[in-house]
Amino acid sequence: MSATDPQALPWQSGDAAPQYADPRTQALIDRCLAGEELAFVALYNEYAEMIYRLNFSLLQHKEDAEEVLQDSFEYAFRKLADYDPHKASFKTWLYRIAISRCRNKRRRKWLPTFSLSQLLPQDDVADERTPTPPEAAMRNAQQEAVMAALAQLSPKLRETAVLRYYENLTYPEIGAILDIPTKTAESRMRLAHAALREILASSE
Amino acid sequence: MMMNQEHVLPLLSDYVLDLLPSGKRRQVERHAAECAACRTALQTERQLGSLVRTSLQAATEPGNGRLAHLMPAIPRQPARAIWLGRQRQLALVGLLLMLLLGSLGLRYGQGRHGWQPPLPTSVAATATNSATATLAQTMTSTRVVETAVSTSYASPTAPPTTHSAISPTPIPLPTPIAVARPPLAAN
Repeated sequence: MSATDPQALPWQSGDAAPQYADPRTQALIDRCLAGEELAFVALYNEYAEMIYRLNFSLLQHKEDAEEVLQDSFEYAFRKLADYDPHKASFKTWLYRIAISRCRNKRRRKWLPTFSLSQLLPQDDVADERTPTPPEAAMRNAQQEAVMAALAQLSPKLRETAVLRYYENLTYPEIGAILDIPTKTAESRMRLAHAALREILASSE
Repeated sequence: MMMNQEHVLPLLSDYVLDLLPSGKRRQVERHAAECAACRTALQTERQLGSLVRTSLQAATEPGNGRLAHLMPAIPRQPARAIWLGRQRQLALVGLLLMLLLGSLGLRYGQGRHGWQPPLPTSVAATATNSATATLAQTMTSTRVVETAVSTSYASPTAPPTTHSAISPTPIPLPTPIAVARPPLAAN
């Protein structure tokens, strides 16, 4: 496909190899664009849990996280041809879609009251990996405290903290996802870290 | 040691957040190796990150098989499929256009020359001669009578007609054709 081909996809317009293209993901995307349904399923299975966890971490509400997950993938599937591996990794692109929808959800609906029942395990059936009651109680208490602390952060700091602590992203990646300069991502992370330390120390 | 400790403590959170340049990182590491208080503080800073990570990991665990039910519908026609469809449509239109132009060109050619066979001007034959000969034979004949041409071309649209004149422009023939042979004069 020539560089001047008006039908070229955005990332096919240049001669340079895509900077962020992961060969495996790109192969899946190509199959999706060719109309292969199984490729859509594979792409979803690859990234759905990551996006769901991000949504849940930011919204702290299970149903909202599921709704945003569906919305995000519905949009991503529809706009798959717009993804440009010259500009960002597919993961970054998906994160941006999901975070944008999390923000919209938060705007439409005030951040829900932190619900412990949302965070506690729903399944009461025990298995061999189930910790002892004291261990489970301590673990749950820690989770509750951390989630409560995250809920107290501003949305901007929470987004940065989740992307850094949980997703282990670099600051340039966080900046790309949140559409902020790398230095801003770094300073937000400093603030988030200090705030979490203070909140968690006071809750002990 | 206490002075060094005061210098290092403000750097600890930046250290665990990977925000220090390599020189400062080495400074923190060297100091923490010698200073128990800073080591403890560094450990606490590290634990904050891992506590958030493990808590989020446990709290956001999706239900078993739940996510599979949440997959949205696959779009009927993804963008590139549409593009390929367009490409195929363009190819089809191009093919039809070529056929149309080819057809027009053929008709134009027929209209210009009619159904008349492209014979050299020196060739002529009588319509009354029953004998046939190849063009090569005909062209070697020096005694031709320029009266009419009757050929064995069979055209469904243009019945053979007689011509009193032959096109002045010589048109080469790729293959020999059968034409009426004029009677040869007795040599």
